[in-house]
Amino acid sequence: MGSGTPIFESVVLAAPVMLLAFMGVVLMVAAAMWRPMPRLAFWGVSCASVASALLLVAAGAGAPATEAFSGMLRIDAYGNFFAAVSLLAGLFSLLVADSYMERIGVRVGEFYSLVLFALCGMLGMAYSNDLMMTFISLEVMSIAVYVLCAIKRADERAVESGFKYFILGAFSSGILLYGVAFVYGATGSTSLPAIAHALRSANGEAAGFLALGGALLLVGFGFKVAAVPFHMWVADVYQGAPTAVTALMASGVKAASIAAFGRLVIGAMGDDAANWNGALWWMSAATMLVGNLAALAQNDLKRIFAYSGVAHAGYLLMALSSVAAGGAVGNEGIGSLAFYMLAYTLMNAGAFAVLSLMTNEAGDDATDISRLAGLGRSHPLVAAGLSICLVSLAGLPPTMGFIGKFYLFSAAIGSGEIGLAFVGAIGAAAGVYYYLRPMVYMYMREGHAELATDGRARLALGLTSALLIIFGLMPTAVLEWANASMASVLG
Amino acid sequence: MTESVLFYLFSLAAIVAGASVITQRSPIASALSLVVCFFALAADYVMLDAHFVAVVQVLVYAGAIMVLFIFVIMLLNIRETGPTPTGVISFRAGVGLAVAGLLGVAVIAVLDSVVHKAPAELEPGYGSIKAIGGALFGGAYLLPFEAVSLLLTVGMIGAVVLAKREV
Repeated sequence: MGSGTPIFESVVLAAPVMLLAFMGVVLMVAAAMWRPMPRLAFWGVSCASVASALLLVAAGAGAPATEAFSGMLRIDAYGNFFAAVSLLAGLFSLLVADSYMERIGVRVGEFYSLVLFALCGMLGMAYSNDLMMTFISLEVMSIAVYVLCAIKRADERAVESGFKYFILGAFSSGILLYGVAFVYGATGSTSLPAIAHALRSANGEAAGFLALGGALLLVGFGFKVAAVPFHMWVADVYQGAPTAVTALMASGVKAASIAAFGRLVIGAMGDDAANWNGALWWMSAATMLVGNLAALAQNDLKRIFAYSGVAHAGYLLMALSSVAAGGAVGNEGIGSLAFYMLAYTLMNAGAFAVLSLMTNEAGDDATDISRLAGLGRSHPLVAAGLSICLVSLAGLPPTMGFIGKFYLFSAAIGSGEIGLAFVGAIGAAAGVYYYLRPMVYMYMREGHAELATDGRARLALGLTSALLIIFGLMPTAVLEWANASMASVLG
Repeated sequence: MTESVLFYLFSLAAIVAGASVITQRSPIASALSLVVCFFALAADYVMLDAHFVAVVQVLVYAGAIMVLFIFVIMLLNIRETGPTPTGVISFRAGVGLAVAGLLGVAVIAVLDSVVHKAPAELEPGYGSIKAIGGALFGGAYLLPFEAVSLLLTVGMIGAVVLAKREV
């Protein structure tokens, strides 16, 4: 701590975060001044802000890891990777948002401001190098998302969704903070490097405090990534929230939470990470099984994707668990966590773009699976795009999802987590069934599936499905980036 | 010695008052119990040499926020809640007690495992306004301090978006 980098340099280093916060404030003021809001201007400015933040992240990608704001943030390849993933999730849901929000009759300028603030919080979590900063960023993100869930106030389900998420989220934030307090008590610091240092030099004299703090942190982060048994809220919240918001929640919030949790487990706990492994193991196994099995019984697409999100949280925790089991020694599969997060974000964004298209001009946003019947004939391109996303989610070749799962399982087996890989394989097999079911409806059932005419959502679907195929066939570059990013946090 | 006795005494008062907040039937009684809880916490902060935090606790929480609370309660004219269906409540209370008990056991087990050692020596000027100001505005905590203001802004936008009459 102490002097650290001067403030101006820190601001430059954290430019993407600063940009999003600033543009969020600008849009907030603009929303208060211009009524009714000029839709396209708001949409354009927010898209441009997220895209510029993405470019800034990409521009800083080659730089060596640097600490900013007296060690509060650590700008490194790991942070950059997850920041980029969160920003991609934000960009894709913004592509969908404008036309979708208009169709459901919500014309609120603050929507865009809140999206930018949520993304700002996500970036803060990805770069955060201090538990205090992690917590504040988490709250910035969460509070913005609570409001976004309930932004269609006239809709009972949206309000229920926002309220449920708020109550449970506030509760889990409290638990997380309690965990931070115990870790602080055990190590005397909230800074991750200082925690790592204290753990190395301590000979287990505060192990109990640390274990309790770790358990509470696990609960808090488990809620945010929707891991079993803290997943009860997922289906209702995802279903009730506007589709554009659900898309952001499912991938962006998850990426940011996994990033912060990963940095804590891998970066700070170091050799101690092995102690976490038992808990991570069970959580991951339960999450993969429950998520996949619960999705089998659902008929609403949003609920299917909610449970699929739970299942994927399980896969991500499996990756984390195998890194933890491998200890701080870098192994081949460490990149699998980052790579899979990117794959999940892309396939999720594509699938949710189609879900948003299912909301017609009248604002009817029922997403029952039967409404897909006949889509293969009436909208062959959209059906093909959705099929690519679904095949990727199921983990079948030649998509990015397949490569992701392949590295995930080989990392798990490589670090001796054969039991976990086995459980994951069972879950993935169940997954194939419910991911292919929408395809059966699209291509084999007669029906008159109708979609909204929204070019930007189609663009989002086209981009994601193209990227899924490209990265599925040529994963090397992304995989190397993912490996480098994980290596940067192992230090 | 006296300090630690007083510390635990005030902590006990805070816990009892906190329990009273959620068990009182009348909202006003709950609010007043909360005032007691805040004051007891402020006293604890004094025992921990965090004088500035203690003063702010009294000024902001026990003062301003509580006045707001009580205004709202009186404006809304909330009455005592009627007799509650006992079956459900006792089940809930049972679950709550079980979870709290589990956590309590964990805390005691942990406390037992910790090697008891004397608290670290404080640097001169610890907890003073000067030290806090230095840490917040010139030291390590500049970014979290500013980020909190962003957090409050987000909360405010949220409240306005969700509560204003017409969108």
